[in-house]
Amino acid sequence: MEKNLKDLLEELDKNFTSPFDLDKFYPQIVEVISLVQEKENLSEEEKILLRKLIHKLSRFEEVVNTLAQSVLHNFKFEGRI
Amino acid sequence: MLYSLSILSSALKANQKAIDIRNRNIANADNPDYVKENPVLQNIYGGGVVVADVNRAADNVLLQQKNNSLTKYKGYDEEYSILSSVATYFDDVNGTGLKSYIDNYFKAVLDFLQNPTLDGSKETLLAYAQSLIDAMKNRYTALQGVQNQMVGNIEKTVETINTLGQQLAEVNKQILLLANESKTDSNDYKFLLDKRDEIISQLAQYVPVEVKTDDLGVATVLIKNNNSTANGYITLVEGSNFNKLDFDSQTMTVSVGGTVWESSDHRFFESGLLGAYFNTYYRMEDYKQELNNLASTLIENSYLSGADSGNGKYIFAGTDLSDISVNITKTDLDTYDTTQGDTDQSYFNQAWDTVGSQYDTFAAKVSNDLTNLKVFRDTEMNLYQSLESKYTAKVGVNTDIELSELLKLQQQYQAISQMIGTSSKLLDYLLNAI
Repeated sequence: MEKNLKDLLEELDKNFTSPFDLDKFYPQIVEVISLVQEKENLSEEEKILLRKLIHKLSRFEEVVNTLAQSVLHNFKFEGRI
Repeated sequence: MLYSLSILSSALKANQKAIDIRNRNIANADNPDYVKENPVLQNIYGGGVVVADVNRAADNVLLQQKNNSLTKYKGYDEEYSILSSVATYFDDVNGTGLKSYIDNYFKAVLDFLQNPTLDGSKETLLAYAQSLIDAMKNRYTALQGVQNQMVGNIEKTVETINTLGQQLAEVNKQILLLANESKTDSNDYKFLLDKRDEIISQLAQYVPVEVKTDDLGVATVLIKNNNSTANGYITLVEGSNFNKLDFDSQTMTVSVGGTVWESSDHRFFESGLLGAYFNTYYRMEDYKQELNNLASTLIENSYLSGADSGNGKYIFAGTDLSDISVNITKTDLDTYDTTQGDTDQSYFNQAWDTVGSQYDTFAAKVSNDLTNLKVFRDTEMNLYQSLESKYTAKVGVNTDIELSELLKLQQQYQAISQMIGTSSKLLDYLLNAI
Protein backbone atom coordinates (compact mmCIF):
# COMPACT_ATOMS: atom_id res chain seq x y z
CA MET A 1 0.00 0.00 0.00
CA GLU A 2 1.26 3.46 -0.89
CA LYS A 3 2.22 5.56 2.08
CA ASN A 4 0.99 9.10 2.50
CA LEU A 5 3.22 12.13 3.00
CA LYS A 6 2.67 12.44 6.73
CA ASP A 7 3.52 8.76 7.37
CA LEU A 8 6.68 9.06 5.30
CA LEU A 9 7.74 12.26 7.04
CA GLU A 10 7.09 10.70 10.46
CA GLU A 11 9.06 7.62 9.52
CA LEU A 12 12.00 9.74 8.37
CA ASP A 13 11.76 11.90 11.48
CA LYS A 14 11.95 8.83 13.69
CA ASN A 15 14.44 6.65 11.83
CA PHE A 16 16.63 8.87 9.66
CA THR A 17 18.91 9.96 12.48
CA SER A 18 22.40 9.62 11.09
CA PRO A 19 24.24 11.14 8.11
CA PHE A 20 25.71 7.67 7.55
CA ASP A 21 22.21 6.29 6.79
CA LEU A 22 21.56 8.58 3.85
CA ASP A 23 21.81 5.71 1.33
CA LYS A 24 19.26 3.69 3.26
CA PHE A 25 16.66 6.46 3.37
CA TYR A 26 17.36 8.03 -0.02
CA PRO A 27 14.32 6.42 -1.75
CA GLN A 28 11.94 7.70 0.95
CA ILE A 29 13.45 11.21 0.73
CA VAL A 30 12.95 11.25 -3.04
CA GLU A 31 9.37 10.06 -2.55
CA VAL A 32 8.72 12.83 0.00
CA ILE A 33 10.02 15.46 -2.42
CA SER A 34 7.80 14.20 -5.21
CA LEU A 35 4.73 14.05 -2.91
CA VAL A 36 5.37 17.59 -1.64
CA GLN A 37 5.58 18.86 -5.22
CA GLU A 38 2.26 17.22 -6.06
CA LYS A 39 0.45 18.48 -2.97
CA GLU A 40 -1.08 21.95 -2.98
CA ASN A 41 -1.47 22.49 0.75
CA LEU A 42 0.49 21.04 3.63
CA SER A 43 -0.92 20.64 7.13
CA GLU A 44 0.85 22.39 10.03
CA GLU A 45 2.22 19.06 11.22
CA GLU A 46 3.52 18.21 7.75
CA LYS A 47 5.12 21.65 7.47
CA ILE A 48 7.00 21.15 10.75
CA LEU A 49 8.13 17.63 9.80
CA LEU A 50 9.24 18.86 6.39
CA ARG A 51 11.12 21.73 8.00
CA LYS A 52 12.84 19.18 10.25
CA LEU A 53 13.77 17.00 7.28
CA ILE A 54 15.20 19.91 5.28
CA HIS A 55 17.22 21.13 8.24
CA LYS A 56 18.41 17.59 8.90
CA LEU A 57 19.52 17.10 5.29
CA SER A 58 21.35 20.39 5.23
CA ARG A 59 23.14 19.76 8.55
CA PHE A 60 24.00 16.15 7.68
CA GLU A 61 25.35 17.27 4.30
CA GLU A 62 27.59 19.79 6.07
CA VAL A 63 29.09 17.04 8.27
CA VAL A 64 29.47 14.49 5.47
CA ASN A 65 31.18 17.11 3.28
CA THR A 66 33.68 17.97 6.01
CA LEU A 67 34.47 14.30 6.65
CA ALA A 68 34.77 13.64 2.89
CA GLN A 69 37.11 16.62 2.49
CA SER A 70 39.36 15.21 5.19
CA VAL A 71 39.48 11.81 3.46
CA LEU A 72 40.25 13.40 0.07
CA HIS A 73 42.93 15.51 1.72
CA ASN A 74 44.80 12.31 2.57
CA PHE A 75 44.96 11.16 -1.06
CA LYS A 76 47.69 12.36 -3.32
CA PHE A 77 46.90 12.66 -6.99
CA GLU A 78 50.38 12.95 -8.39
CA GLY A 79 50.74 14.55 -11.78
CA ARG A 80 47.18 15.82 -11.74
CA ILE A 81 45.65 19.15 -10.94
CA MET B 1 75.55 -16.32 26.49
CA LEU B 2 75.38 -12.91 28.22
CA TYR B 3 74.43 -11.39 24.88
CA SER B 4 71.51 -13.77 24.42
CA LEU B 5 70.39 -13.06 27.98
CA SER B 6 70.37 -9.33 27.20
CA ILE B 7 68.21 -9.92 24.09
CA LEU B 8 65.79 -12.05 26.12
CA SER B 9 65.67 -9.44 28.84
CA SER B 10 64.77 -6.67 26.35
CA ALA B 11 62.06 -8.93 24.88
CA LEU B 12 60.67 -9.58 28.37
CA LYS B 13 60.66 -5.85 29.14
CA ALA B 14 58.94 -5.00 25.81
CA ASN B 15 56.44 -7.79 26.36
CA GLN B 16 55.62 -6.56 29.85
CA LYS B 17 55.12 -3.04 28.47
CA ALA B 18 52.76 -4.38 25.76
CA ILE B 19 50.80 -6.32 28.42
CA ASP B 20 50.50 -3.11 30.47
CA ILE B 21 49.09 -1.25 27.48
CA ARG B 22 46.53 -4.01 26.75
CA ASN B 23 45.58 -4.09 30.43
CA ARG B 24 45.09 -0.34 30.37
CA ASN B 25 42.80 -0.67 27.33
CA ILE B 26 40.68 -3.27 29.13
CA ALA B 27 40.56 -1.23 32.34
CA ASN B 28 39.27 1.76 30.34
CA ALA B 29 36.79 -0.16 28.19
CA ASP B 30 33.88 1.79 29.71
CA ASN B 31 35.60 5.16 29.71
CA PRO B 32 34.06 7.25 26.89
CA ASP B 33 37.03 9.64 26.80
CA TYR B 34 39.61 6.89 26.46
CA VAL B 35 41.21 6.25 23.05
CA LYS B 36 42.48 2.67 22.58
CA GLU B 37 46.22 2.13 22.12
CA ASN B 38 48.19 -0.48 20.22
CA PRO B 39 51.79 -1.27 21.16
CA VAL B 40 54.14 -1.32 18.18
CA LEU B 41 56.98 -3.83 18.86
CA GLN B 42 60.16 -3.39 16.86
CA ASN B 43 63.48 -5.24 16.52
CA ILE B 44 66.43 -3.12 17.46
CA TYR B 45 69.73 -3.02 15.69
CA GLY B 46 72.15 -5.42 17.34
CA GLY B 47 69.41 -7.67 18.71
CA GLY B 48 66.47 -7.31 21.07
CA VAL B 49 62.94 -5.93 20.99
CA VAL B 50 61.43 -2.66 22.20
CA VAL B 51 58.02 -1.03 22.23
CA ALA B 52 58.90 1.50 19.53
CA ASP B 53 55.64 3.37 19.67
CA VAL B 54 52.20 3.31 21.20
CA ASN B 55 49.76 3.77 18.38
CA ARG B 56 46.81 5.85 19.59
CA ALA B 57 43.74 5.13 17.48
CA ALA B 58 42.62 8.77 17.40
CA ASP B 59 40.56 10.35 14.62
CA ASN B 60 40.90 14.09 14.98
CA VAL B 61 38.58 15.03 12.11
CA LEU B 62 35.74 12.91 13.49
CA LEU B 63 36.47 14.19 16.99
CA GLN B 64 36.27 17.81 15.76
CA GLN B 65 32.93 17.09 14.06
CA LYS B 66 31.66 15.36 17.19
CA ASN B 67 32.66 18.35 19.31
CA ASN B 68 31.07 20.82 16.85
CA SER B 69 27.86 18.86 17.04
CA LEU B 70 28.07 18.68 20.84
CA THR B 71 28.39 22.49 21.00
CA LYS B 72 25.29 22.98 18.88
CA TYR B 73 23.30 20.25 20.61
CA LYS B 74 24.03 21.52 24.12
CA GLY B 75 23.20 25.10 23.09
CA TYR B 76 19.92 24.28 21.35
CA ASP B 77 18.91 21.87 24.11
CA GLU B 78 19.44 24.47 26.83
CA GLU B 79 17.73 27.24 24.85
CA TYR B 80 14.82 24.95 24.08
CA SER B 81 14.46 23.89 27.68
CA ILE B 82 14.45 27.50 28.97
CA LEU B 83 12.10 28.72 26.24
CA SER B 84 9.72 25.81 26.89
CA SER B 85 9.05 27.17 30.36
CA VAL B 86 8.84 30.80 29.16
CA ALA B 87 6.42 29.82 26.38
CA THR B 88 3.83 28.67 28.95
CA TYR B 89 3.25 32.37 29.77
CA PHE B 90 2.00 32.84 26.21
CA ASP B 91 0.41 29.45 25.59
CA ASP B 92 -3.23 30.18 24.80
CA VAL B 93 -4.00 26.65 23.64
CA ASN B 94 -3.63 25.48 27.24
CA GLY B 95 -5.14 28.68 28.61
CA THR B 96 -2.00 30.05 30.28
CA GLY B 97 -1.44 32.90 27.82
CA LEU B 98 -2.65 36.50 27.83
CA LYS B 99 -5.43 35.94 25.32
CA SER B 100 -8.09 35.16 27.93
CA TYR B 101 -7.16 38.32 29.91
CA ILE B 102 -7.41 40.47 26.77
CA ASP B 103 -10.71 38.88 25.74
CA ASN B 104 -12.20 39.19 29.23
CA TYR B 105 -11.28 42.88 29.39
CA PHE B 106 -12.75 43.75 25.99
CA LYS B 107 -15.86 41.65 26.68
CA ALA B 108 -16.29 43.55 29.95
CA VAL B 109 -16.00 46.90 28.15
CA LEU B 110 -18.62 45.87 25.56
CA ASP B 111 -20.90 44.46 28.31
CA PHE B 112 -20.66 47.77 30.14
CA LEU B 113 -21.49 49.68 26.96
CA GLN B 114 -24.61 47.55 26.55
CA ASN B 115 -25.59 47.93 30.22
CA PRO B 116 -23.99 51.22 31.34
CA THR B 117 -26.28 51.62 34.32
CA LEU B 118 -25.54 48.24 35.92
CA ASP B 119 -23.13 48.48 38.82
CA GLY B 120 -21.97 44.89 38.23
CA SER B 121 -20.80 45.65 34.68
CA LYS B 122 -18.80 48.65 35.92
CA GLU B 123 -17.11 46.63 38.69
CA THR B 124 -16.36 43.81 36.22
CA LEU B 125 -14.80 46.24 33.72
CA LEU B 126 -12.54 47.79 36.38
CA ALA B 127 -11.56 44.36 37.73
CA TYR B 128 -10.72 42.89 34.29
CA ALA B 129 -8.79 46.03 33.28
CA GLN B 130 -6.67 45.66 36.41
CA SER B 131 -6.21 41.92 36.00
CA LEU B 132 -5.00 42.42 32.39
CA ILE B 133 -2.37 44.88 33.60
CA ASP B 134 -1.34 42.51 36.40
CA ALA B 135 -1.05 39.55 34.00
CA MET B 136 1.11 41.55 31.61
CA LYS B 137 3.29 42.85 34.43
CA ASN B 138 3.67 39.34 35.88
CA ARG B 139 4.91 38.08 32.56
CA TYR B 140 7.27 41.02 32.19
CA THR B 141 8.67 40.30 35.67
CA ALA B 142 9.06 36.61 34.79
CA LEU B 143 11.00 37.52 31.62
CA GLN B 144 13.18 39.86 33.68
CA GLY B 145 13.77 36.98 36.13
CA VAL B 146 14.91 34.72 33.30
CA GLN B 147 17.29 37.47 32.15
CA ASN B 148 18.78 37.77 35.64
CA GLN B 149 19.18 34.00 35.75
CA MET B 150 21.01 34.15 32.39
CA VAL B 151 23.45 36.75 33.72
CA GLY B 152 24.26 34.38 36.61
CA ASN B 153 24.63 31.45 34.20
CA ILE B 154 26.96 33.46 31.94
CA GLU B 155 29.11 34.39 34.94
CA LYS B 156 29.41 30.74 36.01
CA THR B 157 30.00 29.51 32.45
CA VAL B 158 32.80 32.00 31.79
CA GLU B 159 34.37 30.90 35.07
CA THR B 160 34.15 27.23 34.01
CA ILE B 161 35.65 27.99 30.57
CA ASN B 162 38.55 29.79 32.27
CA THR B 163 39.14 26.84 34.63
CA LEU B 164 39.12 24.37 31.72
CA GLY B 165 41.42 26.64 29.69
CA GLN B 166 43.89 26.76 32.58
CA GLN B 167 43.75 22.98 32.99
CA LEU B 168 44.40 22.49 29.28
CA ALA B 169 47.40 24.84 29.32
CA GLU B 170 48.77 22.79 32.24
CA VAL B 171 48.20 19.51 30.34
CA ASN B 172 50.01 21.02 27.32
CA LYS B 173 52.92 21.85 29.60
CA GLN B 174 53.03 18.28 30.96
CA ILE B 175 52.85 16.85 27.40
CA LEU B 176 55.93 18.88 26.45
CA LEU B 177 57.79 17.72 29.55
CA LEU B 178 56.84 14.04 29.27
CA ALA B 179 57.37 13.94 25.50
CA ASN B 180 61.02 14.80 26.12
CA GLU B 181 61.35 12.28 28.99
CA SER B 182 59.63 9.56 26.93
CA LYS B 183 62.36 9.71 24.34
CA THR B 184 64.89 8.66 26.95
CA ASP B 185 63.12 6.15 29.21
CA SER B 186 60.45 4.79 26.83
CA ASN B 187 57.57 5.91 29.09
CA ASP B 188 54.53 7.01 27.17
CA TYR B 189 52.33 10.04 27.82
CA LYS B 190 49.25 8.98 25.91
CA PHE B 191 47.10 9.33 29.04
CA LEU B 192 47.75 13.06 28.80
CA LEU B 193 46.33 13.10 25.27
CA ASP B 194 43.14 11.47 26.58
CA LYS B 195 43.03 14.07 29.34
CA ARG B 196 43.55 16.79 26.69
CA ASP B 197 40.66 15.46 24.57
CA GLU B 198 38.43 15.13 27.63
CA ILE B 199 39.00 18.79 28.57
CA ILE B 200 38.39 19.89 24.98
CA SER B 201 35.11 17.93 24.85
CA GLN B 202 34.04 19.60 28.10
CA LEU B 203 34.92 23.01 26.62
CA ALA B 204 32.93 22.15 23.49
CA GLN B 205 29.77 22.01 25.59
CA TYR B 206 30.14 25.69 26.38
CA VAL B 207 31.68 27.28 23.28
CA PRO B 208 32.49 26.28 19.69
CA VAL B 209 36.14 25.27 19.69
CA GLU B 210 38.56 24.52 16.91
CA VAL B 211 41.59 22.49 17.87
CA LYS B 212 44.99 22.28 16.23
CA THR B 213 47.58 19.86 17.56
CA ASP B 214 51.29 19.70 16.84
CA ASP B 215 53.33 16.49 16.36
CA LEU B 216 53.70 15.97 20.11
CA GLY B 217 50.00 16.50 20.77
CA VAL B 218 50.17 20.00 22.27
CA ALA B 219 46.81 21.63 21.54
CA THR B 220 45.98 25.14 20.43
CA VAL B 221 42.33 25.89 21.15
CA LEU B 222 40.48 28.62 19.31
CA ILE B 223 36.96 29.80 20.12
CA LYS B 224 35.04 30.62 16.97
CA ASN B 225 31.69 32.01 16.07
CA ASN B 226 29.96 29.08 14.37
CA ASN B 227 27.77 31.32 12.24
CA SER B 228 30.40 33.65 10.86
CA THR B 229 34.12 33.15 10.39
CA ALA B 230 34.37 36.84 9.54
CA ASN B 231 34.26 37.59 13.25
CA GLY B 232 37.70 36.07 13.81
CA TYR B 233 38.56 33.85 16.72
CA ILE B 234 39.73 33.96 20.31
CA THR B 235 42.91 32.05 21.09
CA LEU B 236 41.97 30.48 24.42
CA VAL B 237 44.99 28.20 24.82
CA GLU B 238 48.23 28.11 22.91
CA GLY B 239 50.87 25.79 24.35
CA SER B 240 51.15 26.56 28.03
CA ASN B 241 49.65 30.05 27.52
CA PHE B 242 46.04 30.67 28.46
CA ASN B 243 43.99 33.80 27.70
CA LYS B 244 41.33 34.55 30.30
CA LEU B 245 37.78 35.55 29.33
CA ASP B 246 36.34 38.50 31.30
CA PHE B 247 32.60 39.01 31.65
CA ASP B 248 31.11 42.36 32.66
CA SER B 249 27.50 41.85 33.77
CA GLN B 250 26.76 45.59 33.66
CA THR B 251 27.57 45.99 29.98
CA MET B 252 26.93 42.32 29.06
CA THR B 253 30.30 42.19 27.34
CA VAL B 254 32.98 39.49 27.18
CA SER B 255 36.52 40.62 26.56
CA VAL B 256 39.94 39.03 26.34
CA GLY B 257 42.96 41.13 27.28
CA GLY B 258 40.92 44.33 26.94
CA THR B 259 39.49 43.47 23.50
CA VAL B 260 35.69 43.21 23.52
CA TRP B 261 34.46 40.12 21.64
CA GLU B 262 30.83 39.94 22.73
CA SER B 263 28.47 42.88 23.09
CA SER B 264 24.82 43.61 22.29
CA ASP B 265 25.68 45.14 18.90
CA HIS B 266 28.42 42.64 18.07
CA ARG B 267 27.36 39.10 18.94
CA PHE B 268 30.11 36.49 19.10
CA PHE B 269 28.91 33.67 21.37
CA GLU B 270 25.91 32.28 19.55
CA SER B 271 26.18 28.53 20.12
CA GLY B 272 27.05 26.16 22.96
CA LEU B 273 25.80 26.73 26.50
CA LEU B 274 27.36 30.20 26.67
CA GLY B 275 25.67 31.09 23.38
CA ALA B 276 22.37 29.71 24.68
CA TYR B 277 22.51 31.98 27.74
CA PHE B 278 23.36 35.08 25.68
CA ASN B 279 20.73 34.22 23.04
CA THR B 280 18.10 33.71 25.76
CA TYR B 281 19.06 36.99 27.44
CA TYR B 282 18.50 38.92 24.18
CA ARG B 283 15.39 36.90 23.31
CA MET B 284 13.86 37.90 26.68
CA GLU B 285 14.81 41.52 25.97
CA ASP B 286 12.96 41.24 22.67
CA TYR B 287 9.88 39.67 24.34
CA LYS B 288 9.87 42.38 27.00
CA GLN B 289 9.86 44.97 24.24
CA GLU B 290 6.93 43.17 22.59
CA LEU B 291 5.01 43.29 25.88
CA ASN B 292 5.78 47.01 26.21
CA ASN B 293 4.56 47.62 22.70
CA LEU B 294 1.39 45.66 23.49
CA ALA B 295 0.83 47.79 26.61
CA SER B 296 1.29 50.97 24.55
CA THR B 297 -1.24 49.76 21.96
CA LEU B 298 -3.64 48.86 24.75
CA ILE B 299 -3.35 52.34 26.29
CA GLU B 300 -3.75 54.09 22.93
CA ASN B 301 -6.84 52.01 22.15
CA SER B 302 -8.68 52.60 25.42
CA TYR B 303 -10.43 55.92 24.87
CA LEU B 304 -13.97 55.82 26.24
CA SER B 305 -15.59 58.93 24.79
CA GLY B 306 -18.76 58.75 26.89
CA ALA B 307 -16.93 58.55 30.22
CA ASP B 308 -16.95 61.38 32.72
CA SER B 309 -20.26 62.89 31.50
CA GLY B 310 -19.15 62.72 27.87
CA ASN B 311 -15.82 64.50 28.41
CA GLY B 312 -14.10 61.25 27.44
CA LYS B 313 -11.32 59.43 29.26
CA TYR B 314 -8.73 56.73 28.57
CA ILE B 315 -9.36 53.52 30.50
CA PHE B 316 -5.58 53.12 30.92
CA ALA B 317 -2.95 55.76 31.64
CA GLY B 318 0.78 55.65 31.01
CA THR B 319 3.12 55.05 28.09
CA ASP B 320 4.07 51.36 28.42
CA LEU B 321 4.24 48.55 31.01
CA SER B 322 6.54 50.54 33.29
CA ASP B 323 3.82 53.05 34.19
CA ILE B 324 0.52 51.61 32.96
CA SER B 325 -2.40 51.95 35.37
CA VAL B 326 -6.18 51.90 35.33
CA ASN B 327 -7.09 55.52 34.73
CA ILE B 328 -10.85 55.35 34.76
CA THR B 329 -12.85 55.37 38.01
CA LYS B 330 -16.22 54.08 39.05
CA THR B 331 -17.48 57.72 39.09
CA ASP B 332 -16.37 58.20 35.45
CA LEU B 333 -18.48 55.14 34.58
CA ASP B 334 -21.41 56.25 36.78
CA THR B 335 -21.60 59.47 34.77
CA TYR B 336 -21.26 57.74 31.40
CA ASP B 337 -22.95 59.62 28.58
CA THR B 338 -25.09 56.93 26.90
CA THR B 339 -25.37 58.93 23.67
CA GLN B 340 -21.77 57.87 22.98
CA GLY B 341 -22.68 54.18 23.33
CA ASP B 342 -22.69 53.27 19.61
CA THR B 343 -19.50 55.19 18.85
CA ASP B 344 -17.70 53.54 21.77
CA GLN B 345 -18.95 50.06 20.85
CA SER B 346 -17.61 50.37 17.33
CA TYR B 347 -14.34 51.85 18.63
CA PHE B 348 -13.79 49.05 21.18
CA ASN B 349 -14.65 46.30 18.69
CA GLN B 350 -11.90 47.73 16.48
CA ALA B 351 -9.57 48.09 19.50
CA TRP B 352 -10.16 44.43 20.41
CA ASP B 353 -9.07 43.43 16.89
CA THR B 354 -5.99 45.65 17.02
CA VAL B 355 -4.77 44.56 20.47
CA GLY B 356 -5.80 40.92 19.89
CA SER B 357 -4.00 40.58 16.60
CA GLN B 358 -0.86 42.29 17.94
CA TYR B 359 -0.83 39.79 20.80
CA ASP B 360 -1.53 36.86 18.43
CA THR B 361 1.47 37.85 16.30
CA PHE B 362 3.66 37.96 19.38
CA ALA B 363 2.36 34.62 20.75
CA ALA B 364 2.91 33.03 17.31
CA LYS B 365 6.48 34.35 17.34
CA VAL B 366 7.13 32.68 20.72
CA SER B 367 5.62 29.44 19.47
CA ASN B 368 7.61 29.63 16.23
CA ASP B 369 10.86 30.27 18.14
CA LEU B 370 10.12 27.19 20.24
CA THR B 371 9.35 25.02 17.20
CA ASN B 372 12.55 26.16 15.45
CA LEU B 373 14.63 25.34 18.52
CA LYS B 374 13.00 21.91 18.73
CA VAL B 375 13.81 21.24 15.06
CA PHE B 376 17.44 22.29 15.56
CA ARG B 377 17.75 20.46 18.89
CA ASP B 378 16.30 17.16 17.61
CA THR B 379 18.48 17.17 14.49
CA GLU B 380 21.61 17.98 16.43
CA MET B 381 20.82 15.36 19.08
CA ASN B 382 20.52 12.69 16.37
CA LEU B 383 23.68 13.90 14.67
CA TYR B 384 25.68 14.04 17.88
CA GLN B 385 24.58 10.53 18.92
CA SER B 386 25.47 9.12 15.52
CA LEU B 387 28.89 10.85 15.46
CA GLU B 388 29.56 9.70 19.01
CA SER B 389 28.79 6.05 18.23
CA LYS B 390 30.91 6.26 15.05
CA TYR B 391 33.76 7.75 17.06
CA THR B 392 33.46 5.21 19.88
CA ALA B 393 33.44 2.34 17.36
CA LYS B 394 36.63 3.72 15.87
CA VAL B 395 38.62 4.65 18.94
CA GLY B 396 36.90 2.75 21.75
CA VAL B 397 38.08 -0.53 23.25
CA ASN B 398 36.77 -3.87 22.01
CA THR B 399 37.30 -6.13 25.04
CA ASP B 400 37.17 -9.38 23.00
CA ILE B 401 40.05 -8.28 20.78
CA GLU B 402 41.99 -6.89 23.74
CA LEU B 403 41.61 -10.13 25.75
CA SER B 404 42.79 -12.25 22.84
CA GLU B 405 45.82 -9.97 22.31
CA LEU B 406 46.52 -10.08 26.04
CA LEU B 407 46.41 -13.90 26.05
CA LYS B 408 48.94 -14.03 23.21
CA LEU B 409 51.24 -11.62 25.01
CA GLN B 410 51.01 -13.58 28.26
CA GLN B 411 51.92 -16.81 26.47
CA GLN B 412 54.87 -15.06 24.87
CA TYR B 413 55.86 -13.65 28.25
CA GLN B 414 55.84 -17.11 29.85
CA ALA B 415 57.89 -18.52 26.97
CA ILE B 416 60.49 -15.74 27.27
CA SER B 417 60.61 -16.19 31.08
CA GLN B 418 61.25 -19.93 30.68
CA MET B 419 63.98 -19.23 28.13
CA ILE B 420 65.61 -16.77 30.52
CA GLY B 421 65.39 -19.37 33.31
CA THR B 422 67.01 -22.01 31.12
CA SER B 423 69.74 -19.64 29.89
CA SER B 424 70.44 -18.58 33.45
CA LYS B 425 70.78 -22.24 34.58
CA LEU B 426 73.05 -22.88 31.62
CA LEU B 427 75.17 -19.89 32.57
CA ASP B 428 75.40 -21.10 36.22
CA TYR B 429 76.41 -24.56 34.98
CA LEU B 430 79.13 -23.10 32.76
CA LEU B 431 80.42 -20.84 35.52
CA ASN B 432 80.56 -23.77 37.96
CA ALA B 433 82.30 -25.91 35.36
CA ILE B 434 85.13 -23.41 34.89
